[in-house]
Amino acid sequence: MISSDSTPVSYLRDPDVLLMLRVQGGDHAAFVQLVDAYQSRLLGLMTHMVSDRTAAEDLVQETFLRVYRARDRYEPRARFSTWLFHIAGNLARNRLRKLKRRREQSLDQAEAGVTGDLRPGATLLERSSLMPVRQVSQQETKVRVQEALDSLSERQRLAVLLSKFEGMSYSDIGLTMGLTEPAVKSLMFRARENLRIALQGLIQGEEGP
Amino acid sequence: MNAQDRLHESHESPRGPLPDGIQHEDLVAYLDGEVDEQLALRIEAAVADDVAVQAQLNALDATWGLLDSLPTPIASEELTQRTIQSLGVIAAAPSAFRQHRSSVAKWVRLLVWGGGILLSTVAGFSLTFRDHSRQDRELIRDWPVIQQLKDYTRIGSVEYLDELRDEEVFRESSENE
Repeated sequence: MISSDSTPVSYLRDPDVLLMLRVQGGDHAAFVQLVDAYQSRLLGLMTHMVSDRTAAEDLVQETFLRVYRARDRYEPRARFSTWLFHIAGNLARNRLRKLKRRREQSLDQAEAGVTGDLRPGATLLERSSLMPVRQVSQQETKVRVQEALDSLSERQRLAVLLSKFEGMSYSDIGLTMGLTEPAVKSLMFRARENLRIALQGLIQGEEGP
Repeated sequence: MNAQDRLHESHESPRGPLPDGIQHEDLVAYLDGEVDEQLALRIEAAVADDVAVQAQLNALDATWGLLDSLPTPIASEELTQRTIQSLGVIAAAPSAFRQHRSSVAKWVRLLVWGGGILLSTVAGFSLTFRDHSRQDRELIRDWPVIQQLKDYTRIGSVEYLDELRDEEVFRESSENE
């Protein structure tokens, strides 16, 4: 459970915390309201985390399942969204680790004799610096931005998504990810710097004639 | 930390020098609205004085803006249903069943009460009407007597009437009629 210095009482002003307390009391309709309110936001986070819509939908369901199962133990120690995204972030990172292990295993088994760096992030970084500056289509922009996002470490990616799409402060990101505020500041800097490098071709393209 | 994390988290990116008291992390925190007012003023002064700082800040900001091009997935109604149903199978079903059962019990109670009230009403009406019919029948039967009650009272006794009948005082009048 997420802990914070704030008193639990202060979180009782969060309407979603109140809904979750109703869920705890057996109000099924309150849970449906929470699903309605957060489903698309979670789907956005998961889709950008795992880059796969089907897997993202599974993860959204898994997140709500965990929330529901944990309802008896729920205590309002943070905003509901902080708790929810904490669970979601952990699930997404676990999924990515599993995928990565599977990929590494299949690469080891293949032993294709490839000596180059196959990591998508490295490929992207190299590509971005070598790529000639040119105008790109919107679709290509989307693809390259998603690739840039994918090239970040799991923690960087989660921090970026929570900040960008959930509008979370460093303090809330810290609560969600179990990090201190200075650690989040440092993480955000590295993430944005990596994005800047990965996408500099696009930025120069935009700024160019 | 794995190899990829190390690659990204220790990556030395090309970035220019900054004035004393300002770190590169502060530029990002400034864009994220996470610095105090004093530091914000120092950064703004640095941006105004130094084109290189301005360029760094612009590049970071533009990169952030590019994330807006990512699609925003919307959860379908079907996903909502699936999510609720998956939970329903595990935990909500007994609760829903309890709700359903309680609702049925409520209806049964209502029906019993309603039926009772209806039966009482019907019974009350039928008793009242039966009693009224009996009274009416008696009234019809006794009506001739009631009509003559004043004369009968004046006559005084039934025995006297019997005597008059025995003397065939009424025969003539009844034959004339």
